[in-house]
Amino acid sequence: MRMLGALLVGAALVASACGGSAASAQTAAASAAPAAPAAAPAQNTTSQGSAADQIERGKLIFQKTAGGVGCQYCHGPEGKGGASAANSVNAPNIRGTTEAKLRAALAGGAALMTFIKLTDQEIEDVLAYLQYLDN
Amino acid sequence: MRIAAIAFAMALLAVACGGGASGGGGAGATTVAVTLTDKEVTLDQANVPAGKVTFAVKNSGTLVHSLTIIKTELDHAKIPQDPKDAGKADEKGKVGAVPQLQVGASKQAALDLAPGTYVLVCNEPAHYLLGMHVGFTVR
Repeated sequence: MRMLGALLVGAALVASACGGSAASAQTAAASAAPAAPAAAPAQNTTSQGSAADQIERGKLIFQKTAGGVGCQYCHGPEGKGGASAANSVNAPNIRGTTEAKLRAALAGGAALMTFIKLTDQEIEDVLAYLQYLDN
Repeated sequence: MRIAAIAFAMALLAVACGGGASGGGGAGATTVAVTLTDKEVTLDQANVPAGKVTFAVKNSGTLVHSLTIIKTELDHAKIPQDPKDAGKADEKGKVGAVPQLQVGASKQAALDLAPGTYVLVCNEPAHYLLGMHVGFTVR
C-alpha cells in the first residue's frame, strides 16, 4: 500500500513537471482566434513537441490564459488591437513587431504587462503563435 | 493686530480639534485622499471611524482611471474575477464609485460607511490585474 502511494506521488510529480504551468495545462481555446495548423513537418519537432503543438500552446496562452485573461484581452484576438480593454491600458497592435521587442515585453519588460507571468517555454510558445499569425 | 492674533489662535484651535484624519466634510466627516497611479491605489489613511467618509480621488497616472468601493471581507488582492469580464474584479458588495477620471482629474465621493472592511479598486479593464487595489477599514 505504501509502495503504491509512493508510486502515485511520483507519477503526479513527473506529470506536474512535464506539464508546465497551469496556464499551459488548459485545453480549451477561443473559437474566435485563427486555427493553428493541424500538423507540422516532422523535422520541426522540438523537445516540447511539434511546431504545431507549440503554436497551439501559444494560441491558448494568447487567447485565454496569460495573466488570467490572455494577451487578446488587451491586444485583440489577432493581436491587431481593437480589444475593449485596449484603450484602458494603451495596448498597441503587436502584429509585425520584432521578435526582440515581443520577447522583452513577454519577459516582463512592458510596464503595463506586469501581471503576465510566463515561463521561458510559454514565451517561446506565444512567439511561435504570433509568428504563425504573421505568416 | 489683536484681531489677527485672535484669528491665528482660532485657526490653531480648529486644526488641533480637527485632528489629522478628518477634514473638509463637515462635523464628524472624514476625508480620505486617494491617489490613482497606473499600478496602485494609495490612501493617506486606511483606517477611519464609521460614518461619513469623503474620498477625494485624484488620477495621477497616465491612463484613465476610476474608483470602486466594495464592502468585503476578502483580501484586496483576492477579489474574484467579474464573471462577465475576466479582466475586472467582481463588484459584489459595491457601495460607491467615482466614475472615469481623465489624467490629472480629481473628484470626490461622499459615502456613509458602516464598520467593516472594504476594498478600493480601479476597475477599468485589466487595472485590477495591474495592482490597482487596496484594503480599507472602517472601525
